[in-house]
Amino acid sequence: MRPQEWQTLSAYIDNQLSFKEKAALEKRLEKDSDLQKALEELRQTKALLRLMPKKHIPHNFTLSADMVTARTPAISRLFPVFSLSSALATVLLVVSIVFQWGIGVPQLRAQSEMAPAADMATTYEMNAEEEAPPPIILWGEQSYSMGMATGKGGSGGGDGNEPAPPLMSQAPETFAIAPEEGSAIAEGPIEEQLTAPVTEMPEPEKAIPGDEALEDAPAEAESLPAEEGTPQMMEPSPQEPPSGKQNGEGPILGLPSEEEAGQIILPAEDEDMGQTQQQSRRTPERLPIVQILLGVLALASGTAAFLIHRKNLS
Amino acid sequence: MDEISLANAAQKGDLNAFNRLVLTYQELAYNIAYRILGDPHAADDATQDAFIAAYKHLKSYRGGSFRAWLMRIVTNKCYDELRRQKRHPQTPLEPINPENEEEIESPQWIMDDSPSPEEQAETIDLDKAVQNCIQQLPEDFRVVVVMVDIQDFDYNEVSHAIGKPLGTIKSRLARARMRLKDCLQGFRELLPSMFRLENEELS
Repeated sequence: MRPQEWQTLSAYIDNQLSFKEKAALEKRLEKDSDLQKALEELRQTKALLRLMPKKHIPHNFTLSADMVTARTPAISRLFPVFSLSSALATVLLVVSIVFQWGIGVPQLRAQSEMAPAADMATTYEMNAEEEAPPPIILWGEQSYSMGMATGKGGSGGGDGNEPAPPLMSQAPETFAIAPEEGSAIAEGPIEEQLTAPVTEMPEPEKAIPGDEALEDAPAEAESLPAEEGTPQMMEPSPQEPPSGKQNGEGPILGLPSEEEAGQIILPAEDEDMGQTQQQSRRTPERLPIVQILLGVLALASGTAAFLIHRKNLS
Repeated sequence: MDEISLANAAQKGDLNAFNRLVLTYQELAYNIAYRILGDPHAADDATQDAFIAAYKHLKSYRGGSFRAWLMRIVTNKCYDELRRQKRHPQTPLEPINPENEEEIESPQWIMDDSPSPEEQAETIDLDKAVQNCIQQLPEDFRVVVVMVDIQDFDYNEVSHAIGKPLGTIKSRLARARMRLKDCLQGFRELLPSMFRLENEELS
């Protein structure tokens, strides 16, 4: 028999069929012996179940005042806490998302335009080198070229022992290449380090005839490193210039002392800018973490509140 | 006072009125719980919890059959107890023989649920035999057949009590009766003579 036929027979013995369904079934029962047998088995089963004795109650279930006013469990009292924290976390999450996409995005975009490869520290350093003012590189001694130029200027204008016009008139082209001129004057190991432009230098006797002020220059040039082709990076910042000697005899602005020689001085505002960029980079990184934490808090407290509420209802 | 008047008084905080309703329905509630759960202690707890919950949620009663409303709470408590039993089964997962500390080869959960011939011979009480067959039914079928065939509820009351439509009640009841019929064939010798004779004639 099909389950539908069993259901019809079951409803028939409970008098739950309509008049039309009942008539159709009774018509089938007259002809179908299997159907009659099934109907009889169902009737016996129902009658047997109806014979089951009633169980006596072990005690009265009436309620006392203590039972109905029993204190709610401690966990049930946490329902307002969990529900409120869930709602609060949800609101904060929404606010943070709105802040990020409504307000924070233009700022982030501007920051990303300023430092497109801000995620990598090395790239940042490269960009900082390109964009920031160049640092001051202080070599071992005072710059030879500066020394020579200053020395020449000093000799030309301030020395007073020899008149300047002869220098200007005798060697106008050598004046233009004054830094290399000193190198050409230098003797000893420095000469070996000099490169091609040095070979084009005019002879020292022609370049500076009778200039006593320049006689000290070759001695200083002996201690200079080979600086041909090395850029002279001078910082125009208003920092206090390093002390030095002019022509090895006195202090001069922009020339380092012996202790400061060989150091690279970065501008102070460059460090500040780097810290500001790093801090501004950290802010957008922290935002998703805060959102994740808020989401987890909202879900956890909301689930706890739901479970407590469900338990209270049951 | 009639049932609805007592319920209204109880809704206003009259505990005595509610207790009069308790006295009226406590035997019915306990018997339904016992037939669904199959354990007197669990039925006791479920019945008591159901009356407490009913008093606390009297505001949700909005007229109609108080019996059906109350039995809905009772059946829900029975479902809760059945779920609790599933979460915390009393049978250990890895039964150990305390004598030799070895695992028992045939734990209860891999045994056939149907009673063995020896068990059937030992089952001399028809009530236990019927209850055994009821316990083998799925929970949803069990609730319907207990309320209709044992406690004589009509279909509408059952539909209201368990919150299912009439068609579902009819279907579940028919399938429960089919399974009970097959199960009770194993206890034919325990059936009353009138049922046994007719059964033998039919078979």
